Amino acid sequence: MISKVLFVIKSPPYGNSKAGEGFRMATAMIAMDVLPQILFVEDGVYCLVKNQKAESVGLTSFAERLRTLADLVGLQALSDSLFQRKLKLSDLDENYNVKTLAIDEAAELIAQNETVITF
Amino acid sequence: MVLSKSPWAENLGFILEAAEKLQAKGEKVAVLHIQDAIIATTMSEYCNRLVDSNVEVYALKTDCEARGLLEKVSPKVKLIDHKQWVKLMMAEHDKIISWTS
Repeated sequence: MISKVLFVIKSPPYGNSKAGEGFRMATAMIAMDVLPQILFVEDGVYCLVKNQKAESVGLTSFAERLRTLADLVGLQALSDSLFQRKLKLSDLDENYNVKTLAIDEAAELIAQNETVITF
Repeated sequence: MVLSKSPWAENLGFILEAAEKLQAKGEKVAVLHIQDAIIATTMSEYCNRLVDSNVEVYALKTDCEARGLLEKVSPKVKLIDHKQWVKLMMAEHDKIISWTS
């Protein structure tokens, strides 16, 4: 059975359900004793921005699920994607304890995993 | 023009040029950003270029709040609610270009 799984989140939050589905799948894997890793790249880094109010557009916030994932498996983000979007670590939700990765480290992370799933 | 996609998934250069050319032809142009397109309203260079060309720039406030980006929206952008959106489209402009898919 495959046990090393990496989720790459590249979709922004709330415009579609992609990122949210990725978080749901990651949570389901944890329930089945597979501990995936999660990397945010490109527009996916916007999922990590603090003070989101999804309820203002009639959607359910996934902040609580992200907090749980952060506690259980940790959240990582590509520093280049943050930099290009002028997002600083102080713009991100501090509860997520996001670890930033340089492109070489992200490549290494992808190489280490048996399965990479993008959302 | 109504935009809904992230500027990173869209050809912003084309949109800028189209808006500027329409404005130069004497049309009254406004660009409304909704959903993921509100990310573009946090980009000051893009907003400044539109405003400098006398194009009005709008963003749906609730979509900015949902994404936690309200404080990052350029001061050049007019934040509107759903009622103002309807008024903008139905009463203030003759034509609508929905650049959303």
